[in-house]
Amino acid sequence: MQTKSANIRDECVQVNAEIPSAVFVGAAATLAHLGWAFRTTRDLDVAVEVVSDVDEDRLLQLKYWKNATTNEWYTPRGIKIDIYIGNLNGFSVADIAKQSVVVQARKNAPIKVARLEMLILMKHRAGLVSDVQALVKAKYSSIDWNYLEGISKDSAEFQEIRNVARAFGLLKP
Amino acid sequence: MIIVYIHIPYGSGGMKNMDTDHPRLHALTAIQTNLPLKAAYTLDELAHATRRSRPTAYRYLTELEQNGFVIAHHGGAFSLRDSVFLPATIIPHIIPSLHALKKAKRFRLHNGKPGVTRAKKLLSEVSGMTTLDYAAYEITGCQTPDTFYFYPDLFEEAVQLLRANNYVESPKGKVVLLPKIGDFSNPTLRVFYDSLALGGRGMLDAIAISSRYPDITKSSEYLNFLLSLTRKVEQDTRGADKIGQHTR
Repeated sequence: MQTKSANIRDECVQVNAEIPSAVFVGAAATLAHLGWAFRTTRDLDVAVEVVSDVDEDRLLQLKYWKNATTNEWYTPRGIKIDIYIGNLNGFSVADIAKQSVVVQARKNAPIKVARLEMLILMKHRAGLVSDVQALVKAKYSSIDWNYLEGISKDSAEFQEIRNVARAFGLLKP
Repeated sequence: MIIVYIHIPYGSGGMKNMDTDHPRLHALTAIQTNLPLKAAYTLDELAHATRRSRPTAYRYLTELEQNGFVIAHHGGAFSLRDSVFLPATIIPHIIPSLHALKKAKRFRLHNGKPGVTRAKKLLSEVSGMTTLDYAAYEITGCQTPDTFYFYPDLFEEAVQLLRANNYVESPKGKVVLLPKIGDFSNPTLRVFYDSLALGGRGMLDAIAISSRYPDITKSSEYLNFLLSLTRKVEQDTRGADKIGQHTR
Protein backbone atom coordinates (compact mmCIF):
# COMPACT_ATOMS: atom_id res chain seq x y z
CA MET A 1 0.00 0.00 0.00
CA GLN A 2 1.41 3.38 -0.95
CA THR A 3 0.36 5.54 1.95
CA LYS A 4 -0.15 9.25 1.94
CA SER A 5 3.28 9.81 3.53
CA ALA A 6 4.74 8.83 0.16
CA ASN A 7 2.38 11.31 -1.49
CA ILE A 8 3.42 14.04 0.92
CA ARG A 9 7.08 13.37 0.19
CA ASP A 10 6.46 13.80 -3.53
CA GLU A 11 4.30 16.82 -2.85
CA CYS A 12 7.19 18.45 -0.97
CA VAL A 13 9.37 18.00 -4.06
CA GLN A 14 6.69 19.60 -6.27
CA VAL A 15 6.05 22.51 -3.92
CA ASN A 16 9.79 23.13 -3.59
CA ALA A 17 10.02 23.46 -7.36
CA GLU A 18 7.05 25.82 -7.50
CA ILE A 19 7.90 27.96 -4.44
CA PRO A 20 11.71 28.09 -4.42
CA SER A 21 12.06 29.89 -1.06
CA ALA A 22 9.69 27.53 0.76
CA VAL A 23 10.96 26.05 4.02
CA PHE A 24 8.86 23.17 5.21
CA VAL A 25 7.75 23.33 8.82
CA GLY A 26 5.14 21.29 10.67
CA ALA A 27 4.34 17.76 9.56
CA ALA A 28 6.64 17.64 6.53
CA ALA A 29 9.62 18.85 8.57
CA THR A 30 8.83 16.34 11.32
CA LEU A 31 8.64 13.57 8.74
CA ALA A 32 11.94 14.64 7.20
CA HIS A 33 13.74 14.72 10.56
CA LEU A 34 12.30 11.34 11.52
CA GLY A 35 13.36 9.63 8.30
CA TRP A 36 9.96 9.96 6.63
CA ALA A 37 8.41 7.53 9.12
CA PHE A 38 5.87 9.26 11.29
CA ARG A 39 2.16 9.85 11.35
CA THR A 40 0.97 13.03 9.74
CA THR A 41 -2.13 14.62 8.39
CA ARG A 42 -2.26 15.47 4.72
CA ASP A 43 -1.67 19.21 4.84
CA LEU A 44 1.61 21.07 4.36
CA ASP A 45 2.99 24.08 6.22
CA VAL A 46 5.62 26.25 4.59
CA ALA A 47 7.44 29.37 5.71
CA VAL A 48 8.23 31.61 2.76
CA GLU A 49 10.81 34.39 3.04
CA VAL A 50 10.51 35.73 -0.52
CA VAL A 51 6.97 37.08 -0.48
CA SER A 52 6.81 37.42 -4.27
CA ASP A 53 7.11 33.61 -4.44
CA VAL A 54 3.62 33.37 -2.98
CA ASP A 55 2.02 36.38 -4.59
CA GLU A 56 -1.63 35.44 -5.10
CA ASP A 57 -1.49 35.92 -8.88
CA ARG A 58 1.65 33.81 -9.10
CA LEU A 59 0.06 31.02 -7.07
CA LEU A 60 -3.02 31.10 -9.27
CA GLN A 61 -0.81 30.93 -12.37
CA LEU A 62 0.82 27.85 -10.87
CA LYS A 63 -2.68 26.34 -10.56
CA TYR A 64 -2.82 26.68 -6.81
CA TRP A 65 -6.37 27.45 -5.74
CA LYS A 66 -8.15 28.98 -2.79
CA ASN A 67 -11.31 27.67 -1.16
CA ALA A 68 -13.63 30.66 -1.24
CA THR A 69 -15.44 29.55 1.90
CA THR A 70 -12.49 28.83 4.14
CA ASN A 71 -9.79 30.97 2.47
CA GLU A 72 -7.51 27.94 2.59
CA TRP A 73 -4.98 27.40 -0.20
CA TYR A 74 -4.56 24.09 -2.02
CA THR A 75 -1.75 22.91 -4.30
CA PRO A 76 -2.58 21.86 -7.87
CA ARG A 77 -2.60 18.26 -6.56
CA GLY A 78 -5.31 19.10 -4.01
CA ILE A 79 -3.13 19.18 -0.88
CA LYS A 80 -4.00 21.88 1.65
CA ILE A 81 -1.08 24.24 2.20
CA ASP A 82 -0.64 26.85 4.93
CA ILE A 83 1.81 29.57 3.90
CA TYR A 84 3.51 31.65 6.58
CA ILE A 85 5.27 34.89 5.63
CA GLY A 86 5.60 36.75 8.95
CA ASN A 87 6.18 34.88 12.16
CA LEU A 88 5.52 31.34 13.19
CA ASN A 89 5.35 30.20 16.81
CA GLY A 90 7.68 32.97 17.93
CA PHE A 91 10.23 32.69 15.14
CA SER A 92 10.52 35.06 12.21
CA VAL A 93 10.25 33.43 8.82
CA ALA A 94 13.62 35.05 7.99
CA ASP A 95 15.26 33.20 10.91
CA ILE A 96 13.53 29.94 10.01
CA ALA A 97 14.86 30.31 6.45
CA LYS A 98 18.36 31.31 7.58
CA GLN A 99 18.65 28.33 9.91
CA SER A 100 16.91 25.81 7.67
CA VAL A 101 18.60 22.58 6.69
CA VAL A 102 18.54 20.74 3.38
CA VAL A 103 17.29 17.15 3.25
CA GLN A 104 16.68 14.82 0.36
CA ALA A 105 12.94 14.29 -0.07
CA ARG A 106 13.73 11.98 -2.97
CA LYS A 107 16.94 11.08 -4.75
CA ASN A 108 18.42 14.33 -6.14
CA ALA A 109 15.39 16.21 -4.87
CA PRO A 110 16.51 18.41 -1.97
CA ILE A 111 14.08 20.48 0.05
CA LYS A 112 14.61 22.91 2.90
CA VAL A 113 13.12 22.09 6.31
CA ALA A 114 13.11 23.91 9.63
CA ARG A 115 16.12 23.21 11.80
CA LEU A 116 15.47 20.45 14.34
CA GLU A 117 15.79 22.67 17.44
CA MET A 118 13.44 25.29 15.99
CA LEU A 119 10.97 22.60 14.97
CA ILE A 120 10.95 21.15 18.51
CA LEU A 121 10.23 24.59 19.99
CA MET A 122 7.58 25.32 17.35
CA LYS A 123 5.84 22.03 18.19
CA HIS A 124 6.23 22.75 21.90
CA ARG A 125 4.69 26.19 21.53
CA ALA A 126 1.86 24.78 19.42
CA GLY A 127 1.08 22.26 22.20
CA LEU A 128 1.78 19.24 20.00
CA VAL A 129 3.28 17.30 22.88
CA SER A 130 3.42 13.90 21.19
CA ASP A 131 5.44 15.38 18.31
CA VAL A 132 7.86 16.96 20.82
CA GLN A 133 8.20 13.61 22.59
CA ALA A 134 8.80 11.80 19.31
CA LEU A 135 11.40 14.31 18.07
CA VAL A 136 13.35 14.45 21.35
CA LYS A 137 13.24 10.67 21.78
CA ALA A 138 14.30 9.85 18.23
CA LYS A 139 16.74 12.70 17.61
CA TYR A 140 18.24 13.25 21.06
CA SER A 141 21.84 12.83 19.94
CA SER A 142 21.33 15.24 17.01
CA ILE A 143 19.96 18.07 19.15
CA ASP A 144 22.34 20.98 19.68
CA TRP A 145 21.30 21.74 23.26
CA ASN A 146 23.34 24.95 23.46
CA TYR A 147 21.63 26.24 20.34
CA LEU A 148 18.22 25.15 21.64
CA GLU A 149 18.89 26.99 24.91
CA GLY A 150 19.86 30.07 22.94
CA ILE A 151 16.61 30.20 20.98
CA SER A 152 14.31 29.23 23.86
CA LYS A 153 12.25 32.14 25.08
CA ASP A 154 13.34 31.54 28.67
CA SER A 155 15.05 28.98 30.89
CA ALA A 156 11.70 27.41 31.83
CA GLU A 157 10.95 26.59 28.19
CA PHE A 158 14.41 25.09 27.76
CA GLN A 159 14.02 23.01 30.92
CA GLU A 160 10.69 21.67 29.68
CA ILE A 161 12.41 20.24 26.63
CA ARG A 162 15.26 18.92 28.78
CA ASN A 163 12.66 17.23 31.00
CA VAL A 164 11.38 15.30 27.99
CA ALA A 165 14.88 13.92 27.44
CA ARG A 166 15.18 13.22 31.17
CA ALA A 167 11.85 11.38 31.28
CA PHE A 168 12.99 9.10 28.47
CA GLY A 169 16.26 8.42 30.32
CA LEU A 170 18.34 10.08 27.61
CA LEU A 171 20.27 12.67 29.59
CA LYS A 172 23.84 11.74 30.28
CA PRO A 173 24.67 11.91 34.01
CA MET B 1 -9.43 20.86 46.55
CA ILE B 2 -11.44 18.03 45.03
CA ILE B 3 -9.73 14.69 44.87
CA VAL B 4 -11.40 12.25 42.56
CA TYR B 5 -11.30 8.62 43.46
CA ILE B 6 -12.40 6.63 40.47
CA HIS B 7 -13.21 2.98 40.83
CA ILE B 8 -13.08 1.56 37.36
CA PRO B 9 -14.64 -1.75 36.37
CA TYR B 10 -13.79 -3.08 32.96
CA GLY B 11 -16.43 -3.20 30.27
CA SER B 12 -18.21 -6.38 29.47
CA GLY B 13 -16.99 -8.87 26.91
CA GLY B 14 -13.47 -9.56 25.72
CA MET B 15 -10.90 -11.27 27.93
CA LYS B 16 -11.30 -9.41 31.16
CA ASN B 17 -9.81 -12.32 33.05
CA MET B 18 -6.39 -11.17 31.79
CA ASP B 19 -6.42 -8.46 34.41
CA THR B 20 -9.02 -8.48 37.11
CA ASP B 21 -7.86 -5.71 39.42
CA HIS B 22 -9.90 -2.53 39.47
CA PRO B 23 -7.66 0.45 38.90
CA ARG B 24 -8.11 3.51 41.05
CA LEU B 25 -7.03 6.98 40.12
CA HIS B 26 -6.58 9.54 42.83
CA ALA B 27 -6.06 13.19 42.09
CA LEU B 28 -7.36 13.06 38.54
CA THR B 29 -9.25 16.33 38.89
CA ALA B 30 -6.29 18.05 40.51
CA ILE B 31 -4.04 16.88 37.69
CA GLN B 32 -6.52 17.92 35.01
CA THR B 33 -7.06 21.28 36.66
CA ASN B 34 -3.56 22.22 37.74
CA LEU B 35 -1.13 20.53 35.35
CA PRO B 36 -0.75 22.32 32.03
CA LEU B 37 -0.54 20.22 28.88
CA LYS B 38 3.20 19.65 28.41
CA ALA B 39 5.52 17.08 26.92
CA ALA B 40 7.08 16.30 30.32
CA TYR B 41 6.67 17.10 33.99
CA THR B 42 8.72 16.77 37.15
CA LEU B 43 7.62 15.06 40.34
CA ASP B 44 7.77 18.47 42.04
CA GLU B 45 5.26 19.81 39.53
CA LEU B 46 2.93 16.89 40.25
CA ALA B 47 3.28 17.46 44.01
CA HIS B 48 2.52 21.14 43.51
CA ALA B 49 -0.47 20.42 41.25
CA THR B 50 -2.00 17.96 43.71
CA ARG B 51 -0.91 19.96 46.77
CA ARG B 52 0.56 16.87 48.28
CA SER B 53 4.03 15.82 49.42
CA ARG B 54 6.54 14.37 47.00
CA PRO B 55 6.03 10.82 48.39
CA THR B 56 2.25 11.15 47.87
CA ALA B 57 2.82 12.60 44.41
CA TYR B 58 5.06 9.64 43.68
CA ARG B 59 2.23 7.32 44.70
CA TYR B 60 -0.11 9.14 42.32
CA LEU B 61 2.49 8.81 39.58
CA THR B 62 2.70 5.09 40.28
CA GLU B 63 -1.10 4.83 39.95
CA LEU B 64 -0.98 6.72 36.66
CA GLU B 65 1.78 4.39 35.51
CA GLN B 66 -0.16 1.28 36.54
CA ASN B 67 -3.10 2.53 34.51
CA GLY B 68 -1.03 3.15 31.40
CA PHE B 69 -1.06 6.95 31.36
CA VAL B 70 2.72 7.28 31.74
CA ILE B 71 4.75 7.13 28.53
CA ALA B 72 8.16 7.55 30.13
CA HIS B 73 9.46 8.03 33.67
CA HIS B 74 13.07 8.54 34.68
CA GLY B 75 15.10 10.67 37.06
CA GLY B 76 12.17 12.54 38.59
CA ALA B 77 10.73 13.51 35.21
CA PHE B 78 7.86 11.85 33.39
CA SER B 79 5.76 12.15 30.25
CA LEU B 80 2.02 11.51 30.27
CA ARG B 81 -0.37 10.53 27.55
CA ASP B 82 -2.61 13.52 26.93
CA SER B 83 -5.58 11.16 27.33
CA VAL B 84 -5.22 11.83 31.06
CA PHE B 85 -6.86 15.19 30.34
CA LEU B 86 -10.00 13.68 28.80
CA PRO B 87 -13.31 14.27 30.60
CA ALA B 88 -13.66 12.06 33.68
CA THR B 89 -16.72 10.39 32.13
CA ILE B 90 -14.60 8.99 29.29
CA ILE B 91 -11.74 7.65 31.44
CA PRO B 92 -13.46 4.34 32.38
CA HIS B 93 -14.04 3.63 28.66
CA ILE B 94 -10.34 3.99 27.78
CA ILE B 95 -8.84 2.14 30.76
CA PRO B 96 -8.99 -1.29 29.01
CA SER B 97 -7.21 0.22 26.00
CA LEU B 98 -4.58 1.78 28.25
CA HIS B 99 -3.98 -1.54 29.98
CA ALA B 100 -3.65 -3.29 26.64
CA LEU B 101 -1.13 -0.65 25.49
CA LYS B 102 0.80 -1.09 28.72
CA LYS B 103 1.04 -4.84 28.21
CA ALA B 104 1.75 -4.64 24.49
CA LYS B 105 4.79 -6.30 22.93
CA ARG B 106 6.69 -4.48 20.20
CA PHE B 107 8.56 -6.29 17.46
CA ARG B 108 10.88 -5.56 14.57
CA LEU B 109 12.70 -7.83 12.19
CA HIS B 110 16.00 -9.32 13.36
CA ASN B 111 17.84 -7.35 10.64
CA GLY B 112 16.60 -4.08 12.14
CA LYS B 113 13.92 -3.38 9.55
CA PRO B 114 10.39 -2.59 10.76
CA GLY B 115 8.84 -5.52 8.92
CA VAL B 116 5.34 -4.05 9.01
CA THR B 117 4.20 -5.30 5.62
CA ARG B 118 5.44 -8.83 6.32
CA ALA B 119 3.86 -8.87 9.78
CA LYS B 120 0.54 -7.73 8.37
CA LYS B 121 0.61 -10.65 5.97
CA LEU B 122 1.64 -13.14 8.66
CA LEU B 123 -0.93 -11.95 11.16
CA SER B 124 -3.70 -11.96 8.57
CA GLU B 125 -3.55 -15.73 8.94
CA VAL B 126 -4.42 -15.63 12.64
CA SER B 127 -7.71 -14.31 13.95
CA GLY B 128 -7.75 -10.97 15.66
CA MET B 129 -8.35 -7.29 15.12
CA THR B 130 -6.21 -4.45 13.76
CA THR B 131 -6.44 -1.21 15.68
CA LEU B 132 -4.97 2.30 15.93
CA ASP B 133 -2.82 3.57 13.01
CA TYR B 134 -3.79 1.18 10.23
CA ALA B 135 -7.36 0.64 11.40
CA ALA B 136 -7.94 4.37 11.80
CA TYR B 137 -6.39 4.98 8.38
CA GLU B 138 -8.77 2.44 6.85
CA ILE B 139 -11.74 4.09 8.56
CA THR B 140 -10.89 7.75 8.04
CA GLY B 141 -7.85 8.21 5.75
CA CYS B 142 -7.00 11.11 8.04
CA GLN B 143 -3.40 10.38 8.99
CA THR B 144 -0.71 8.22 7.48
CA PRO B 145 -0.22 4.96 9.41
CA ASP B 146 3.16 4.19 10.95
CA THR B 147 2.89 1.36 13.47
CA PHE B 148 0.89 -1.84 13.02
CA TYR B 149 -1.17 -2.58 16.14
CA PHE B 150 -2.93 -5.92 16.31
CA TYR B 151 -5.08 -7.70 18.91
CA PRO B 152 -4.64 -11.42 18.23
CA ASP B 153 -7.31 -13.72 19.64
CA LEU B 154 -4.49 -15.93 20.87
CA PHE B 155 -1.75 -13.62 22.09
CA GLU B 156 1.06 -16.11 22.77
CA GLU B 157 0.41 -17.91 19.51
CA ALA B 158 0.88 -14.65 17.60
CA VAL B 159 4.06 -13.89 19.56
CA GLN B 160 5.45 -17.30 18.60
CA LEU B 161 4.46 -16.79 14.98
CA LEU B 162 6.43 -13.55 14.79
CA ARG B 163 9.42 -15.03 16.60
CA ALA B 164 9.42 -17.99 14.22
CA ASN B 165 9.63 -15.53 11.36
CA ASN B 166 12.71 -13.60 12.50
CA TYR B 167 10.96 -10.96 14.57
CA VAL B 168 12.51 -9.86 17.85
CA GLU B 169 11.09 -7.74 20.64
CA SER B 170 12.28 -4.15 20.50
CA PRO B 171 11.08 -1.00 22.26
CA LYS B 172 11.27 0.79 18.91
CA GLY B 173 9.40 -1.97 17.06
CA LYS B 174 6.61 -0.95 14.70
CA VAL B 175 4.71 -4.21 14.91
CA VAL B 176 2.75 -4.23 18.15
CA LEU B 177 0.74 -7.08 19.63
CA LEU B 178 -1.83 -6.10 22.22
CA PRO B 179 -3.58 -8.44 24.65
CA LYS B 180 -7.36 -8.40 24.30
CA ILE B 181 -8.66 -6.56 27.35
CA GLY B 182 -12.18 -5.15 27.53
CA ASP B 183 -15.00 -5.01 25.03
CA PHE B 184 -14.49 -5.79 21.32
CA SER B 185 -18.14 -6.19 20.32
CA ASN B 186 -18.02 -3.04 18.16
CA PRO B 187 -14.64 -2.85 16.35
CA THR B 188 -15.03 0.78 15.22
CA LEU B 189 -15.92 1.88 18.75
CA ARG B 190 -12.90 -0.03 20.05
CA VAL B 191 -10.58 1.69 17.57
CA PHE B 192 -12.11 5.00 18.68
CA TYR B 193 -11.41 4.29 22.37
CA ASP B 194 -7.94 2.91 21.60
CA SER B 195 -7.16 6.10 19.67
CA LEU B 196 -8.35 8.27 22.54
CA ALA B 197 -6.34 6.22 25.02
CA LEU B 198 -3.16 6.42 22.95
CA GLY B 199 -3.42 10.20 22.92
CA GLY B 200 -1.22 12.42 20.81
CA ARG B 201 -1.93 11.86 17.15
CA GLY B 202 -4.40 9.15 18.16
CA MET B 203 -6.68 11.98 19.31
CA LEU B 204 -6.87 13.19 15.71
CA ASP B 205 -7.89 9.71 14.62
CA ALA B 206 -10.55 9.59 17.33
CA ILE B 207 -11.97 12.93 16.23
CA ALA B 208 -11.97 11.78 12.60
CA ILE B 209 -13.75 8.52 13.56
CA SER B 210 -16.30 10.43 15.60
CA SER B 211 -16.88 12.79 12.70
CA ARG B 212 -17.47 9.87 10.36
CA TYR B 213 -19.42 7.63 12.69
CA PRO B 214 -21.16 9.89 15.24
CA ASP B 215 -23.78 7.22 15.97
CA ILE B 216 -21.12 4.73 16.98
CA THR B 217 -19.07 7.08 19.14
CA LYS B 218 -22.06 8.66 20.88
CA SER B 219 -21.43 6.35 23.82
CA SER B 220 -18.54 8.64 24.71
CA GLU B 221 -21.27 10.96 26.03
CA TYR B 222 -19.80 14.32 27.03
CA LEU B 223 -16.86 13.97 24.66
CA ASN B 224 -19.27 13.19 21.85
CA PHE B 225 -21.25 16.26 22.86
CA LEU B 226 -18.13 18.43 22.60
CA LEU B 227 -17.18 16.97 19.22
CA SER B 228 -20.73 17.48 17.90
CA LEU B 229 -20.64 21.03 19.16
CA THR B 230 -17.32 21.62 17.41
CA ARG B 231 -18.75 20.35 14.13
CA LYS B 232 -21.80 22.57 14.53
CA VAL B 233 -19.70 25.67 15.26
CA GLU B 234 -17.50 24.90 12.24
CA GLN B 235 -20.56 24.63 10.01
CA ASP B 236 -22.11 27.78 11.45
CA THR B 237 -18.88 29.74 11.10
CA ARG B 238 -18.51 28.73 7.49
CA GLY B 239 -22.08 29.86 6.89
CA ALA B 240 -21.28 33.21 8.47
CA ASP B 241 -18.26 33.62 6.19
CA LYS B 242 -20.46 33.00 3.18
CA ILE B 243 -22.98 35.62 4.28
CA GLY B 244 -20.14 38.10 4.93
CA GLN B 245 -18.76 37.58 1.45
CA HIS B 246 -22.13 38.10 -0.20
CA THR B 247 -22.87 41.29 1.70
CA ARG B 248 -19.53 42.97 1.00
